[in-house]
Amino acid sequence: MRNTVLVARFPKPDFTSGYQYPDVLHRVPMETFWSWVDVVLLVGMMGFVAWAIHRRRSRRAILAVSIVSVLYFGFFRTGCVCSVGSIQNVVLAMAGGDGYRLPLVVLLVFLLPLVFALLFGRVFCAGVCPIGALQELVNVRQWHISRAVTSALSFIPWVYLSFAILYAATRSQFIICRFDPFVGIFRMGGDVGMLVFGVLLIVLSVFVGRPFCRFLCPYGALLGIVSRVAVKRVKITHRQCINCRLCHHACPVDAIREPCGGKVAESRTIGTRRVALYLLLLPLLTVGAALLLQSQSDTLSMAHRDVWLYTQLRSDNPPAVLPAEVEAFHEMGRSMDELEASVVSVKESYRRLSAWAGALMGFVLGCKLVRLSLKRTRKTYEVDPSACVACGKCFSYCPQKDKAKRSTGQQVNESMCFIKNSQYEEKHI
Amino acid sequence: MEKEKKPQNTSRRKFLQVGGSVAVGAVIAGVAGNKLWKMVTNPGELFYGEKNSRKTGNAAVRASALQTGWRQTGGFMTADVMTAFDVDEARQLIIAASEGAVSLYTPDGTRTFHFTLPAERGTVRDVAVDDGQIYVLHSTCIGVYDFTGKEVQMWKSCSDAADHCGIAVTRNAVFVTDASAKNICLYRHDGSMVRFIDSPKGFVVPSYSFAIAHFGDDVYCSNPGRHLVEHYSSEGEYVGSFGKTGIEEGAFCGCCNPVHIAFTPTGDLLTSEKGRPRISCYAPDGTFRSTLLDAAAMGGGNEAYDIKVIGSRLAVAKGRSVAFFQYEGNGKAVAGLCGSCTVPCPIKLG
Amino acid sequence: MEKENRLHSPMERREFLRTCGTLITGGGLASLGGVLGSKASAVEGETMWQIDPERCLQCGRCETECVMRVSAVKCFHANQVCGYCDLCGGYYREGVKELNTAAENLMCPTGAITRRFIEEPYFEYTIDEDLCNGCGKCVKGCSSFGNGSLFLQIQQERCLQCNECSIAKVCVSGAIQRVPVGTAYKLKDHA
Repeated sequence: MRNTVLVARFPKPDFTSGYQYPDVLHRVPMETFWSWVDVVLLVGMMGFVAWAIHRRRSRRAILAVSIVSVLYFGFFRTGCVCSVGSIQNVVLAMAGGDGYRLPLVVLLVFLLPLVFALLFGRVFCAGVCPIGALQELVNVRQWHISRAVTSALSFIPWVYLSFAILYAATRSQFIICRFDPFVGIFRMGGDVGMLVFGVLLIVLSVFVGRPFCRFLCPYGALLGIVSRVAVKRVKITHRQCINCRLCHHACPVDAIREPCGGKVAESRTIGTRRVALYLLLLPLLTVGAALLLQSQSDTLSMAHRDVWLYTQLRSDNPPAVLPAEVEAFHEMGRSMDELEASVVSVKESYRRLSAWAGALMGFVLGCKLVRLSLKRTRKTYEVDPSACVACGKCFSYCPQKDKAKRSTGQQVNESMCFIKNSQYEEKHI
Repeated sequence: MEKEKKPQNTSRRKFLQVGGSVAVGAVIAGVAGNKLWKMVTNPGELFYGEKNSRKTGNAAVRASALQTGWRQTGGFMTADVMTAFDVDEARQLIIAASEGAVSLYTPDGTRTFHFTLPAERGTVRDVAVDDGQIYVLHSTCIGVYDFTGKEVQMWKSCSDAADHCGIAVTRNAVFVTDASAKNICLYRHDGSMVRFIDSPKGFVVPSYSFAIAHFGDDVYCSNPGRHLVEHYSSEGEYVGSFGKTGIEEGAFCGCCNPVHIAFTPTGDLLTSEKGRPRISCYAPDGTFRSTLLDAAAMGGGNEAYDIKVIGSRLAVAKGRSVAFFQYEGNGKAVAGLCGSCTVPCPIKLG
Repeated sequence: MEKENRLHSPMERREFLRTCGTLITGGGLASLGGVLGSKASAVEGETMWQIDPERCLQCGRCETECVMRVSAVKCFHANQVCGYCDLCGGYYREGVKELNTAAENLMCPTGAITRRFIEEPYFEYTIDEDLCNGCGKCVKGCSSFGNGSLFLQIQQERCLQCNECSIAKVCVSGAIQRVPVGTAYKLKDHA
């Protein structure tokens, strides 16, 4: 019988030579202290970036912040817990997983970049996020990817987000942590496949700006939505703009959109019909994707350890070498009934949640289609706030910035400023 | 795209741009799509596949080398983790002792009765059924109950430092093994102490496994530190011993084996070992007959499985699980597993 | 921008919609923060990963699955539980022929367990953490044949505190769970 729990096999020795048991001290590192340092630095750096972008328009400040971030958040803190992964923790807490108490630090790490994005745009992405900072520091050239490809690829972060939420809410996996390409670089060790992918992305980001941020980051998807309605946005004042297109070519994430003049306008009826069609398609896509994913919910539920274990135990063709988990199941004396009950409840939660995940993906796809078909009325160069990562490259290229600098007086500076409030635009005649 | 003066440059640049975009897009979409496809179609393989975790150094012996002729034919789970068990052939009952209680089960797993034990007596170390009474062994006392749960008798051990391990009840004596005093205490049924029994070679009891079982009036106990099984008469006189150290079949391995001893109706001895759990069968004079069950057949792990014989079946118990094994030799038995044994053993014929 | 009536110019309408969006998003973030804040905890929430020695089956994955080159999992020795035996199940290899301290007779592959004679017949066993690689072979031996005074624990000073412990992901018995920082170790300190 298993008696290690109940009694010790050997009686306690009775020492006659005056032997004293050694004192053993197991120290716990000051993890709480460093977590709060993280939060303070996060706020400080985001505030600094916001000031650097909106007031100073300095690219150098962003580079400085990037270096600090890579060194501190990246290599010193090994990039964990990061805001991107905090999505999973938040979802797990909301799903009420196993009495999981969300650490306050993780909550702040999740919310603060979003709050700052609401106020100042994607300042988190600029140089504070160690992943973004790493890509920023190696970005030398700007080879532009055609809009069709970027539009299509920008759907991936939403798919990633949907699955991350699904797996975190069902307490199955933390896929953002599992498939993180950069954490292996920061830890200097880890899964070989992800390390290779991470290096590949770094190499890619030498030529193509921010591939992870644009095409893979699930948190970036959330930040993009929030920064679309940001209070303070990076804008191009068309009064000073001379259409030199330097910023357009400099922007690593293609956030600066060209004016639409010079293109043959589509017939209004066709355009309106297309918009109407996609608007009609939106609910259909949402429901369709929800049903599609729900139909796969049993297969998806295999991501949960208990479900996989149950399948192994019930399989007709057990492999010659049993997985260690199956052996452990027997050794621990776990009952089949308990496992079955767990499997049933997990599959039930998958049925519910996969529908929501599918609905999210379908909804986003539908919205993207609608947005693509809306009439574009840009007459000047504009910054797309959801794409702008506030890297400041455009500032360093703009020739008009020097003109603004040479002006005297604060008031005049404001009016010639690159970044302005909308009231000044009305003065243009 | 602005128009250049030289059309070829434009088209080449445009070609490179489009080509480069597609290439980058293909790489990213490819990797993401690959993972996504695996997640949707075969997440079990993706997340838990054998190749995902590197090979461990501790992999226990996996594939069973033993072609056993014994099949599990039944079993059940008890309500609580068992610390001791015994079988009553006459009533066809399994008596399972757990923390603070003794339960009676039928072989199909129905609990017919249970009664609680006083908490101050501690855990149950062993339990034995004899002549309509249940003997419950605690570390410093012995309680005797009838099948309605009424305490018939209770006596304490001779010293408070006693640490009882196993009990065997014969017609006119109760043998109790003591791990701390490293001897066997011989009592009468009324609780009166007769004498201590010491082994001529000295009992070495490194851990709390000091099994004892009776066949007729004689008792066999383990001398676990010496890897021996010793035979004593009904009055506690040493008769003989057998056993040797070793990993091979027919030997006892590790520091202290065998952990449990049981008897077949014909007087053959069944031993249960820990470390590499297995049930082995010996003749009364110590000749090794065969290994009956190994760890893989019983369910793995490295703690010993308690073993008793009920009718023509073996009852194997550990934790909350009681499993019954029957010999189905036809065509499957390999030499050395009861198949080659010539003893007309009822559990083999059953 | 060319329309005279400012209130109905497309720019103003867009700005209005945007402000609405800002307020809605702000409200959404605030309520999300509120809901999560009620579930969050500064004190209880901070967690670390730790192995439950009662569930650990010494499968060996602690050695191989940790993201660090040398695993953060170390073997701890609860001296108060130890039997101080000469024939130690965690020290000597199973089936050892000669009881001497030659390397081939010892269980530990890195020689991290050393022993010191105290008095007849007791020996004190100590683990050199710098040599221990968390393989758990000694733990398996000790828990099979001994008191179970050797047990695996995550050394929190070496652990990187990953959001998802890569050993926990593959632990066969689910023994690695989050524990509050206040009780960062699950020690065996008594029999």
